Amino acid sequence: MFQEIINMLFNGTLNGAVLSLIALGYSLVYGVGHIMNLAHGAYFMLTGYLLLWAYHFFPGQILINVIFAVVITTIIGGLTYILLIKPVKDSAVGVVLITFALAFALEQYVLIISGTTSATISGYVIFKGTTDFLGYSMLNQYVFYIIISLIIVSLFALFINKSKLGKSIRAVSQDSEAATLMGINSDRVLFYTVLISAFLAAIAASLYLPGAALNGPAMGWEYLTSSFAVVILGGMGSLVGSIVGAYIVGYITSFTNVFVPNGPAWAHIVPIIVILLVLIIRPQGLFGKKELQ
Amino acid sequence: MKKGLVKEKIRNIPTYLKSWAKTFSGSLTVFLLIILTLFPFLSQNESFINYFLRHFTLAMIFSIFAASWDFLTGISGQISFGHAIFFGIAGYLCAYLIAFQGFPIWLAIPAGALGAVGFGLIIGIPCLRLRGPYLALGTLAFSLILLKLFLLGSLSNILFGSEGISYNTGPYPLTRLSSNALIEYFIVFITLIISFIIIFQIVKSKFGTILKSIRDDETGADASGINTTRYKVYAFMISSFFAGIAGCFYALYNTSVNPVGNFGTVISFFAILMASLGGLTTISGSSLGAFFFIFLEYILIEMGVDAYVQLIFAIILILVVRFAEHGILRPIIEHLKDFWDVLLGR
Repeated sequence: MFQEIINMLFNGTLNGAVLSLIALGYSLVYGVGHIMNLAHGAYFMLTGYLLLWAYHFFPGQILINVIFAVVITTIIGGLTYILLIKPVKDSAVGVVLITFALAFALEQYVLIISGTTSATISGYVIFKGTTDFLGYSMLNQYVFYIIISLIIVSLFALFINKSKLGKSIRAVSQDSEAATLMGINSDRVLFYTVLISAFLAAIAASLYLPGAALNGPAMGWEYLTSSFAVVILGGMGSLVGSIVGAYIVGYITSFTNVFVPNGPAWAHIVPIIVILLVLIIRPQGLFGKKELQ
Repeated sequence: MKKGLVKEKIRNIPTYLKSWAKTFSGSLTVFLLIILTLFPFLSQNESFINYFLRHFTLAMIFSIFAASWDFLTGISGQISFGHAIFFGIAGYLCAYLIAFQGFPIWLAIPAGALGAVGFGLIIGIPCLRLRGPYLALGTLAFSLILLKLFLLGSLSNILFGSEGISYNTGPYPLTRLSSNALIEYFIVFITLIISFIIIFQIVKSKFGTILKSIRDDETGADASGINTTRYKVYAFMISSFFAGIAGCFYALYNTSVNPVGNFGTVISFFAILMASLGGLTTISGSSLGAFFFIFLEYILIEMGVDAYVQLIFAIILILVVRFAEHGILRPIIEHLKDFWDVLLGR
């Protein structure tokens, strides 16, 4: 019983840590540009598969492969903005359609190359082995990831509050026109925002997925729905809300996994139930400052 | 007063039809309809009828489905990324009623469609608060729930698990619409024509104008005193009805239903794809899109590159949204018209 509680707490924290980085990027892009990048989950998935493919060619060069995968995904994020999002930015339907199509295209591309069977990239694990904590063994890589994700979130908070680009991002998210009047290139800022969001997703993937597994190219959709749940729960446009929401959803999921009969099957549906409940009870989420548009 | 108006309208139908058929797009449509009517009789070849012709039937099924999506998203402005929900529910209900309850086909299809409408209500109501991208993701999430639910092993005694229902799962056989591919073709063809006429009339009517006003400016429509809530729910129900008809036909076309094939995101993607190619607000564009993609898939499969089919479709969608957001139907008709004028020396 006790062990199950530790299990639930640890995995909840882990899920929260993963979701916090992914949802942070997603929420950022929405907050700044009112753009829903449906390809966000695909970035996460793509990084994992890039790592897998790089491993086949250069098994020894772990660090270089990771840098390669993160850079490629970040570039794809940037290209998504320049080539796809920016031209159709004025049409909400258009952005959603084009990013959905991109997510689909990326999934199919990976599917063609790697098929649907699961794969592991455990070669990239940095901290091998497990630690025992009160009878529950935790993967060291996961502990490492949780710590790193907290560091990244803190760094990001610093960045957004203190740095010039961070302040520009906040300005554009509050009022894009006024920001332009102040001399901020809103378009450029939006570009950097998408870039950063892809980067965060890629980092999360390269540190978490080695400990987990690549569950087929369709895994991106689950992370997308979870991000959406997190962002709706936390409140669209609120970065603090995304972090808090991520951990809440993370704990609910791991609770379902451990304590609900036939847990793992229901755990997939948790994010969606969260979305529905939040929309019915409190559509603006926990920290939502803007009305749902 | 009203009775006189209706009688006048009915008396006017032949003149109306004549003047419509004389317009360019009208005559083009009549021309295509004639071709589609005569096409099946082109060849008595076994493989032509049972294989190639059935692709036309499939394209027509998807035309109805895409048109239903277009009605909801293009005309009413409610972006639906989970249209597979209505498609799949109707298919499953229809298959279940036929295979397990022995319903005759002509009863099971409307029952399935009504089941889809029920879901249209269930989905429509929570989605009332959602606009734009939120609605898209909300409907996507709903479709994912249904997909996962139907895949759940633990519910497989009620929901048939990942195997679904096939030809002989139940005490009664799950047959096609008709064992004769020609009859199947014409049943779907006639349903297609009737469905399109109904949808067109709805779009052109005052009801349709209200839906378009909600799409273009919901706040304004609300301010004008239109009960946007009611109309949005109606839009969902109408759209899900036609999606349901298509879903039942599809289940009967394949004589089977299974979670991935009927509820998968791929199905929602197809609706979006086909309707977008034709143009988001043109209903007839959906059939253009449906035929285009079904036959593109056919060609690609014949060429042996079926693994690339979805990827190519996705890239086409990206290109269409990026460069031709209003679809290619209107530009094509414009060009055809100019060409026709040149031919006639005008």
